[in-house]
Amino acid sequence: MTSMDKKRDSERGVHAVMPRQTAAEEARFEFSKALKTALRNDFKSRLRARYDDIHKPAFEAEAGHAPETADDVDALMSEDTLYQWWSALLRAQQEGYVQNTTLCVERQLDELNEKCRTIAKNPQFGSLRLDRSVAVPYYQKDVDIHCVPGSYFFERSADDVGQGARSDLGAFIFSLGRHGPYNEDKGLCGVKFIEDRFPDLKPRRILDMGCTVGQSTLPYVTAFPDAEVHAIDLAAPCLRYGHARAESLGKAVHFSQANAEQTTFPDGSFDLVVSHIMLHEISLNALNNILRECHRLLRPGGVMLHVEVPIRPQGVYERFMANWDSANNNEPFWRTLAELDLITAAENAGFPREAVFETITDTAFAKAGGWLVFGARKMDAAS
Amino acid sequence: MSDLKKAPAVPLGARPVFLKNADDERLLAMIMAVASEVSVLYDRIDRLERVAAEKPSFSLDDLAAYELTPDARAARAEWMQGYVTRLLRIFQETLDDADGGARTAAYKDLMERMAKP
Repeated sequence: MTSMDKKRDSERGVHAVMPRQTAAEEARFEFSKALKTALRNDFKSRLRARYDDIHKPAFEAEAGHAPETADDVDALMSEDTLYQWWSALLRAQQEGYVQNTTLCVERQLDELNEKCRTIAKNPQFGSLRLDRSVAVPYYQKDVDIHCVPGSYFFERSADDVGQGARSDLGAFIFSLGRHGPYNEDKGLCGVKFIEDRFPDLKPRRILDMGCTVGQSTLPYVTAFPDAEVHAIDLAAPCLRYGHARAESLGKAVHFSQANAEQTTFPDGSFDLVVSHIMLHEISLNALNNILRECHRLLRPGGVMLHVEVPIRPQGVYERFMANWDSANNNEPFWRTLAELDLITAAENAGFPREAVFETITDTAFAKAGGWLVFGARKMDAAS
Repeated sequence: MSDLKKAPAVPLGARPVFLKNADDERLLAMIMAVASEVSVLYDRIDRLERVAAEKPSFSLDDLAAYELTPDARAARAEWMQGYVTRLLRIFQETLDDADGGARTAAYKDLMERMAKP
């Protein structure tokens, strides 16, 4: 790595397999971030003003009551010219950022693949186990989440890490750098929640489900140095890259390709099972299967923890806005999850209702709205 | 890349159209791509000017290796914010009739008042 690369990486975390940026690529990413910031802040607040000042009073005058559902607000705002342009600009911004991060990765993909192959041949800390028999379920296969062509799965060659590398680079830009230099905010918040709420839990085996490239997995390795940490995902390119990334950062994680709905780990083999922003990218059936699988995998007294985006907006306007990504950025399950009774879902999976929790935690960095944490403790054999 | 399968160019899933017609949507996407490339040109010119100010003669490698100072980065961030604000200026205006025509009516009223002796 040249000194120039180091300089460009000064804001984000540096590791051996992170895609490098040329000056031109960095300029495109900075534009993308500035545009998104403007759309998400000033522009968005003026949409709210138009709703409050124009559309809501007009609806009330005609209907005799305020808009009651997110669909009511949608019907009003979809006709608003400023909202239409805001949405078109936001979609164009997303597509531009995805294309530019993809091109940046593809430019250096041979080198990235080779680096990851070399690391995989002689791992120093963890391991990588791929299983070609793991099928990609329809809820991931039939839609490219976040409008990324090829999603997490597309392979350009036998040992391709491209979609994983793009995910690692893209996450930092998508989050405007507000989730930490290694995009580790979710993992750090999960760790802190566990330490605060379950100080007696000293996990010896931890499983991270839907780990993608392991950004959220690594804080658990740091926080629980005596634990054996496993991470599973459906996507081979992400697992290959995530393994090389973890090795280059000196973190021991055992990555394997598996569907979180049904893994091959034995019953009661983990003290802590976690996931991070996985639940909103699955389906209702998958969610129920995964909660049951968490229950099966936990030993008595073990804890399940899912860290999610704060999906419970309060007012109808906020709910309408929260649905934007579900409708327009290929997050089809988001809207369903936002309305779901997770407490009952966990109870149905075998957890005692009184042991289930759902709350909001603070960000460790600068993420707006913090994170939703949902989970449960499996009943101890003695209790 | 060598001998690699080409990744798909378009994501699976519906592509929403927000504007009144799809051609406007296409044109907007192209304009934003050009706007993004303007930021690349700005980077090159800024880099060129800064290197030229420090060295009477320099190579392409000097340009590529030039490290921006924290002050230069801060100046760029300020430029970028101003650039995006200028790009989106038109949206500060209300061009539709969302205010019930109040602004147009007020202007007409102003003209009439000014025309009175």
